[in-house]
Amino acid sequence: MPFTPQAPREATKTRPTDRPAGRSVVAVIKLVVGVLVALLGLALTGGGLWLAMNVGPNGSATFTGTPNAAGTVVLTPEVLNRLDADVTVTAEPGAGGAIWMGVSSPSDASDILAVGPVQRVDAVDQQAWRLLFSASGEGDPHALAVADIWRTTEAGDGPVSITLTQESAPESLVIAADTGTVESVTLTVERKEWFVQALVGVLVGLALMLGGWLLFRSARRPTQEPAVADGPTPASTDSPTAGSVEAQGGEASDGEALDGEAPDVEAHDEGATR
Amino acid sequence: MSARTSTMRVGILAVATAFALSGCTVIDDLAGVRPAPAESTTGAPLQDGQAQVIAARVLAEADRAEGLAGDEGVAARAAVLTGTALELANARASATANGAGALVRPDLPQVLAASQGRDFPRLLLTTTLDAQSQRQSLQLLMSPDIASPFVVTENVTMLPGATLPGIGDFAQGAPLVAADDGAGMVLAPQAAAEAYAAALGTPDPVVSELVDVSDSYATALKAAQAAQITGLGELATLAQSHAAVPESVRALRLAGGGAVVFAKINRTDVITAGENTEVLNVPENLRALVGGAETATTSITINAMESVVLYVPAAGQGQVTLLGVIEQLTGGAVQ
Repeated sequence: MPFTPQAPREATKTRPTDRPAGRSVVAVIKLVVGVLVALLGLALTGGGLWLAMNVGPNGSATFTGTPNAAGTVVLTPEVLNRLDADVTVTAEPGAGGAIWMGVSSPSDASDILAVGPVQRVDAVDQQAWRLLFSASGEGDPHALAVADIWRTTEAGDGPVSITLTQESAPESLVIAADTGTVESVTLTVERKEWFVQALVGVLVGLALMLGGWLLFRSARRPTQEPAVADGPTPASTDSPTAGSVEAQGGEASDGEALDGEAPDVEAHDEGATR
Repeated sequence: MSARTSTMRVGILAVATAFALSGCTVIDDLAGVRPAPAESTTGAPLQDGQAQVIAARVLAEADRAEGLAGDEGVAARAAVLTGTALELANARASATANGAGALVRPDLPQVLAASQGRDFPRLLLTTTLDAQSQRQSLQLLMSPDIASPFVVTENVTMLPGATLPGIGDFAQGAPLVAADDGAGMVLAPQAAAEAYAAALGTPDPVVSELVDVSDSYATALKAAQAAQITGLGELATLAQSHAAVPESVRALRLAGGGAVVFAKINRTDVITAGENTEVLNVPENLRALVGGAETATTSITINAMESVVLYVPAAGQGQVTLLGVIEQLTGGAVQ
């Protein structure tokens, strides 16, 4: 086959900045997702550790609070019946006082507390493990103990406790002190799954942090993609043959890619004649 | 970048975003937190066990109060009884020097029904068995408002063999029936009480075909009336009237559409001397009721109270029947 020498072509240098525009978007998405996943993992790990330390192996969460004024305390279903677990409430009177507690339907509790000062608890501060009280009402309260609306009652000097199952939910718990002021109220709910869930959260969080870091790291590294030259590089002018030339893009380091200093493409004379 | 890879990454981002946005719900679900269940306000206002405790306490207090004499008894009865039950208990106490004597109820009362809904007054229908007499009684307990405890408003001994039809599931509650509400029944509760009362009178009883007066109480009463009239002969006449008290009527709907009705009936016996009679001798056992008078020149009036329980069936299901009755002499006068 006759050989016709061809004019040498100039090799094309390929740099990371020459990649398609979508490539940059994907890298950014990977970076963002990686960061978000890592942050989610961090939050899960931190939250899991925090929860595990607070609930302990028994999965016991305790909320406490002190009414900010005198009055009958009522705990509503919003704090008593949100979980399928037993709830224990303990109330303490002031020095030398006595406590009376009664459980009733929410509507009956609301009706009998329609008069008189009331400290209502229908929310908790989960971060501070506090019961949140809101004051309302005025006037002379009804005599609570004589009413026939109570499903169960407890009374005594000093701290008095009562445990509510969820079988009769919804229910309200009314607490009164003979001195007029309830010193403190403690609500404890036990759910053993919480401790296990906290540990699982820690593990999942660590895994997410690792995954996010890997995603973040891969996003900063250019994808290995060969750059193809437009044509043969100039062959050795003294070569009797002209070979096909491939530009071989070297794998740039991360720093090189960011610096836009990808290695030049070298033309190799394969020394083959087609 | 291939289209497949791009789609996958966008999907991951979407999932992550959705997860972040729904984080609170997910955390609540994981923690087992749920909305507080809604309260049902249509059934019985009390739980079965709760009603049982209340009934046992109230009836025990009522028994104790009936055994007390003097002012202490008056105060104790006023605290735990009301309405017809209080009138009867006080009348019984007045008839005896040392109180009426506590009723013997060794067995705990059985709560048959509670009035339906959260409104007041609330009622409890209970039954007890007297171990000595083997007589069954029906009681009606009432709580007039949220802050007031239940008290006994009716306590009636059932007739031998009487049967109270089924009431239904306790948790559903038994709807209260207004005294003048006869919807779906042969008679309204008040009309039933009035019709039964009218059938007992003498000399001109008004017997309705909707009311059955073949029960043992009405039969015995009629027999006593006839014996008394025969005994008086030409010397005197007997007029006996029975009048239902509308304010006393209370009724609960039964499962079959009928109602159990409690009512008080005032009975008045008037013995009037004949034209040729100079004086009427007051029976010794009735003298305390008429202020100790031994004789009367014109007439003797004896007042009594009848506390009755009636069964008013659904329309087309039979006649009004008497389930129980308790009577008590309350006073009288001579002229």
